Order: sequence, then structure tokens, then C-alpha cells
Amino acid sequence: MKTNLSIHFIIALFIGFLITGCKQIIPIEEKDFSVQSFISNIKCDSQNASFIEGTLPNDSIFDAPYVSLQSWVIKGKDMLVSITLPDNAQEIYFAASNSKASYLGFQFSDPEKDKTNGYYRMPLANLKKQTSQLTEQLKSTGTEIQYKNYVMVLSTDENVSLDGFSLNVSYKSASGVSKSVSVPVNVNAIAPYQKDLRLGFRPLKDYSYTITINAPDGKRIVFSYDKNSGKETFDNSQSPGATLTYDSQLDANWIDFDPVFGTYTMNDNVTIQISGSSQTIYLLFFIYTEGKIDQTNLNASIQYSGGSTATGIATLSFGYLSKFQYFVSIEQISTNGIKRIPMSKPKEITVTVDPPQMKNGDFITLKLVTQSGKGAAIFKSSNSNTLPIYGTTKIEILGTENSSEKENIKIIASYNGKELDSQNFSVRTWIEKMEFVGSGTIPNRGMLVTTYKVNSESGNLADLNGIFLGEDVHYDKKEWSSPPYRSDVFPIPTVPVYFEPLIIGQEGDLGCCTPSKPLLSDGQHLPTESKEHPIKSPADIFVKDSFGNYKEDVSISTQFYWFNDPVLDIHSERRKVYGNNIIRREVTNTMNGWKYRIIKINAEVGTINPQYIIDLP
Amino acid sequence: MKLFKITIILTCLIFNDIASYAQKDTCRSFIRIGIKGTMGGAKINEINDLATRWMDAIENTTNIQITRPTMLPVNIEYGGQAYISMMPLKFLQIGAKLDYTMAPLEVKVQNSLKLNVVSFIPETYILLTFGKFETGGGLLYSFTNIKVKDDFFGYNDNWYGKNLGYEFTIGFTSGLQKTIGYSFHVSYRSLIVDNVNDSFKRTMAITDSQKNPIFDLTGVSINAGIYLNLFKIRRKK
Repeated sequence: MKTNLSIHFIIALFIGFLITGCKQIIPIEEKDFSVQSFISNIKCDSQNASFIEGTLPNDSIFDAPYVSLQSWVIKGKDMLVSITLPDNAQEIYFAASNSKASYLGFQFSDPEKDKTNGYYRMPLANLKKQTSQLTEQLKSTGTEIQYKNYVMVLSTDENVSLDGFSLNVSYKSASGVSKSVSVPVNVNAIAPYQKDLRLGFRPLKDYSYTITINAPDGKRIVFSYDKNSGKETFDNSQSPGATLTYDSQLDANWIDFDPVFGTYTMNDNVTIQISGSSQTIYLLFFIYTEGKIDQTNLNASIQYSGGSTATGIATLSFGYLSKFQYFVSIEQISTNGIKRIPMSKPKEITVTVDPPQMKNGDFITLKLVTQSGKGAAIFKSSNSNTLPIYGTTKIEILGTENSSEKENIKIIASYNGKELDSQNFSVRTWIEKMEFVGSGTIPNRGMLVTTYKVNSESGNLADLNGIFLGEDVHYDKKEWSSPPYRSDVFPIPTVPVYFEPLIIGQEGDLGCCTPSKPLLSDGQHLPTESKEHPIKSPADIFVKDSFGNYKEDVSISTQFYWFNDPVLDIHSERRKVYGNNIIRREVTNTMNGWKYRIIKINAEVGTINPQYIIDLP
Repeated sequence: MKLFKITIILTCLIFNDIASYAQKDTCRSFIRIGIKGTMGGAKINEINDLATRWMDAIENTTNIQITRPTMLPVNIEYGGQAYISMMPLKFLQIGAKLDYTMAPLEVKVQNSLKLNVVSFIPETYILLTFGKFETGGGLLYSFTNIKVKDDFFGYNDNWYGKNLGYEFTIGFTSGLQKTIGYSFHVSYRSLIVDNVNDSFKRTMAITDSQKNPIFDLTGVSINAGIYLNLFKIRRKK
């Protein structure tokens, strides 16, 4: 066959491109991660935030704003975000980070691309003062900084689940830009916005009547029925969105509308023709909501109108989420069952609010107050002694100054200035642990010295100032054997031996663990030596028997270290912090002559065994 | 990439030359193009698991026990493919094809969950031809999209992954001589997609184990279609 080379070449070229070029023709839609991928808009009072390319303004001059996710309006699309800002804030900034999503047991994340690309900017000057009342409440509690609260709507793209990322917020005032706060967003963890409310009534066929619904914002919806003409009139001119539907199953007319929070009244004016016989009129009202109503009242009366006519008036009133009552329970603040927290170590507790999500921008103020003496604690997230919360939440309390009195710090939860719950606790820092550092000897006194490091719970030794540190020693015998020891040695003190504790942070003989001398040194003396009766040399305390020999002897004592908090503990309380140490003293006749040996063994750790041996003369 | 393209083109040219000199004994086509419809079943247990978890989640959320639909142990997939083969030797076909398959699954409990595994699969293959009988296999590279539309939880996204796989085929055709013919094949495809991202290019992991989920798309399919034999080679006189 005569090959047409050019045709074959074109075919080969086509096959080659088909194989190698397939990747390019596959249409896979990919988006770059950015804030706009998650947040399509932020809106408040019909004012939209503007998107700006760049990094979220963030400085360390002012504290971050308080941000709380309130509820979702349209699940996965719109969410109410409550933000509390100082009164002088001018702009607020939003960004997103930590992009993560989860769905049915799967998690999606990409730390590499998880970078904020752009942010939203919302000027505050033209926004309504939505929370002037709340600001006044803060004034009434004596808070120096005045706050405003804004409820903003955070919207997302249609195809994105509003889930699994962090919302970063900062603000700018005339003085500068604040720190940013990061709030995790998880739509499944927050409640829906209770927006549904519908009112209904059973129609009266034999009477002319007028139903009037008065909303808290002053708007009216009126339904009237004329018995004579059989005509129904529905006036929703003040609430154009309101609708009237008839429910045949209930035999009721339903009026649906967009509710607002506050007190509603529903009046039913019935025209009654007086006749010779008695009349019974049944009025039936319906309230349907998944939200909360309270203060429900129903009044009815009949007024003579003249002639043979009377007017029956029934009024139903109720509050829709108005004067809502919250219940708060603060988890007991304690460490190992004692109502105390150490300094510099945040303590997490749960503040439970019922209902768990507060509505309509409401918040509960948490405050830490020192009732007497010294001592202080702050909320870690706000870095101050006040913190607004918007529902059940976990908070972290940080001790900043040790208490001088027992349980002198109080955390108070209040709403509208009314105290709902409180807890008392102390800030006291204790010894976390003691560590063996090393050992040495004082040869001319026959003394073994062991050295320990005392560690504070807070990491700062100075926070332990005032804590008593002592030792407790139990001996296995009541007096020293003689020989090998002199008979006129001082007896073993009453078991257990109580040594005067040292005071941490105090200089001098009765102090220890100061900045200039941070380690604790403890000496194991020869059996008879004491502070009051020091010996000149080790040989002074050993004696021989009538045969001119020393006598072998072993004595064992058990030692542990303890501390006592003079603020929280009774005087006799001993909190064991290190031990038991076995202290073994022995006099033995060895190949190299008589020896006195003292060894200290940590019975629990089992790794330290410093010892000291001296030759007896 | 350029080097790869050049290699492929040169390979095609080499086979072209082989075709020019080696095929001198029969009347048959040199190029075949065709289309096929495919239908089969793939395991895709993970998709069924996803639907089950979805119903579990609805029950947990609503505290209502729902009536669960029966789900097949395999997912029915169907689609089509276009291919082009070159026959440098009488008994040998070398070709490339582009396969498009869909495996939709819809679960409806008031609101519905729609899952659709859509794959674009370019493949190169070699077939041994013994008259009308053909068998062979090929290497494939799948671009797989898992479209998720969840009306209950409001989740709507497109996960995608890509991976290498292979395929074995056995079947028959109406021959090499006819200009228009038909083909019928049964194929076994081994394909595991284990590196799946969502539409934001975020890596997918199982929340509990933090391991990548494995979508096993391995399955058997029946392919039938028509083809066109081009450039017939005649016996050299």
C-alpha cells in the first residue's frame, strides 16, 4: 500500500493530542479560598458592608469586641451576629479563617490555603442605635465603658454551608484599631431565630364582628364581618405582608404576619342584637408560635349600646418574647474540690443559660468582684472583670492576684441589673510539685544535705509567698541506741516530729524559696545534733562499749514534705507535696573499720539515694 | 509534558510505519472510530454509607424515626464513550477512548439527598483481535466528581478526585472488513479514588480517623455500540 504520509501524520497528531490533552478538556470548577467564599455579605439596617482586598485591620491597642452568634434565620445562608462595641467605635471589620467544613462524618480542611484574603468593612455612623437600652443597663451597673450592641446579618453564598470556619472581627475607633477576636461558626450548634407567630379566631356566622390585631410597633391588622351582607373585610394596609387564610379543619381564620417582639393585643368587637331569650357566644382565639409568649391575658365584657343593641368586647393580650426571663447557673469554681483557682492558670467553667440562646440582642453580664481584702481575677477572653454572654457558654477565669481572705472573690451573673446567680471563690496559688535537685555533705558536722526545687502552679515562685512549707518525720524508735551513740544525747522527739514550717518568700532562717535563694535545702543531722545543740565534730557523739568497740545499729525514719495555705487551710492541715523519703542511719563494722552511713531514699520515686559515709575514730 | 506529547506522537508514527509495511495480506481497516453506551454496576459502598448516615443524621436531628428506602448493594452506573483505534497489525488494536459515566443515587425523606458520581475517564488500551473476538485492557485516569445535593441540611457541593486505574475488556465485533459495524464488550474496571477535595480544594478526611476516605468505583459494565472502519488496507497485488 502506498501510504499517504501526510494523512497518517495528521491522524497520529490527533491521537497524540487526544491522549495528552484530555486533562485540559475536563471541566472541573474550582474556586480559590477567600473570605467571600464563605461570607457573601454582611448587612445591618439595610446597609451592606463593603469588601476590601487586604488583611484584617488588627492592632493591640484596644480589647477585641464581643461577638456572639445569635441564631440562624435561613439555615446555611443567613445568620444573626451580635456584636458589642465601645460607644466610640466607628467601623467594624469582618474576616474569616480556619476554613473547615464537616458533613456527615467527613471533614474538609486545607491549612495551606486557609488564609484570610480580604475583609468586610461596615461603617457604624448611620446604623440605628439598636441597643441604647442595653447601653443604659451597663451604665446602671456602673461599668465605666459604655457599649453598644449591633445585630448584623451574615449571609453566605448559596452553595456553601455556613459551617466550620472562624469569624474574625475587629473595630476601629478614633483612637486606633482593636485586637481581633475569633469566633468559631457552626450553624448546627446554634438555634433558629424564632420568627413565626400567627393568630387565629373562629368565625362567628350569626354576628357582625371586628377583629383588630395591634402589634407592638403600632401597626394594625383588621378583619371584619357583616352578618347582614355576609361580607368579610381584611385590612392589612399597615402590614402589607399579612395574610388571611381559612383552616377548615379547625374552622378558624389564621392571620400570618412578620412578628416583632413586644406586647400584642387582639380585640374582638361583636355586635349583639338583644332579644327576649338569652344568648351564649363562644369566642375562640388561637396563638401559634414556636417562640415564647408570656403575660397572656383575656378580658371580656358586654356594653349596652342603646336600643336593642349591645357590644361584646373581648381582648386577648400577650407578650411575644417581651420581658423574657432567663435562668443562669454558674458551674462551681473549684480545683480539686476546693473553691479556688491558682494565678495565671485559666480555669474553664460553664455558665448555663436557660434558654441556651438569648434573643433580640439580649445578654447577661458576668462580673468578677473582690468583696474584701486583696485578690483579683479577670475573664480571659475580655481581659477585664466584665464579660457579656449571649447564652450558655464556656468561659475562662484567670487569677491575677492571690486572695488575702478565704473566698473573697465573687462572680456575678446579672440581667437587667438583677443578679441571677453567683459563686464565691479564692485565688490562691499552691505548690504544684517538688523536685529533687541534688545532694551534698557538711563533713565537719556529719550532715547529708538534699536540695529541692519548689514549683508553683502558676510557674512563678513569688506567687507562693506566704505558703508554709514543712516536713513531717516518723522515727522507728523512741530513743537512740547507746552505744554507738552517747547516752546523754537528746531523745528522739515525740512521734511524729513537727518542725516549724518555713514561710515561702520570706528571707532569713524561717523563710525559703526566695528569688535570691530559690532552692530548698534540707539537712539530715547526726542523731543528736540539733539547732540548739550543735556538735563540734562527728566524733563527739559516738561512744564505745566496755570492750572498746562501737556497736552496730540501724535506725530508720520516714519523712515527707507538706505545705499549708494560711488563707484557706486550718493550721493543722498538711498537704503532702513530696515523699515519703526513707532516711536510714547505720553504724557498721566493715572491712575498713567502723563506719557511720546515712542514706536518703525516695520511696516513691526510687531514683534518688544520696548518701554520706564517715569513718568512726 | 511536551516530551510526553512528542513521545506519544512518535509512537503513533512508528505504528503508522508498521502498518505501512507489515499489513499486506488482507483487506481490513486501519482506523476505527466508534461510540458505545455503557451500563454496569459499581460497588461504591461509600455512597450508600453516605446515604445511610444522612438518614441517621435526620433521625438524630428530628427525633423522628423515618421509613428507610431499600438500597441496592451496588450502584447502577451508565454513560457513554467515544473511542478511536488504530490497527497496525491484524490482531492488534491500539486506541484511546473517553468514557463518561454517571452513578446517581437519590434518597428521599420529605427532603431529598441526591448523590451523583460522575466520571470522565480517558483511557489508552490495547486489544488483541482474533477475528471477531477481542480482548485486552488499558490504563485509565479518572476525573471523578461526586455531586452532593442535600435539601435537608442545606449542603450542596461537588467533591472531586482523580486517580489511575485499569480496565480489562472482552467482547466481539462484527469484524474488520465492514465499514460500519457493531461491538459488544464486557469490561471490568478497577478504580479507587482516594484523594478527594471539595469545591474549595479542601482535602476531605474522615472526621473520626482523619484518614482520607476511599471511594471504590470498581465495577463491571456492559458496553455496546457502533463503529466506523476507515482507511481500509487491501491486499497488495
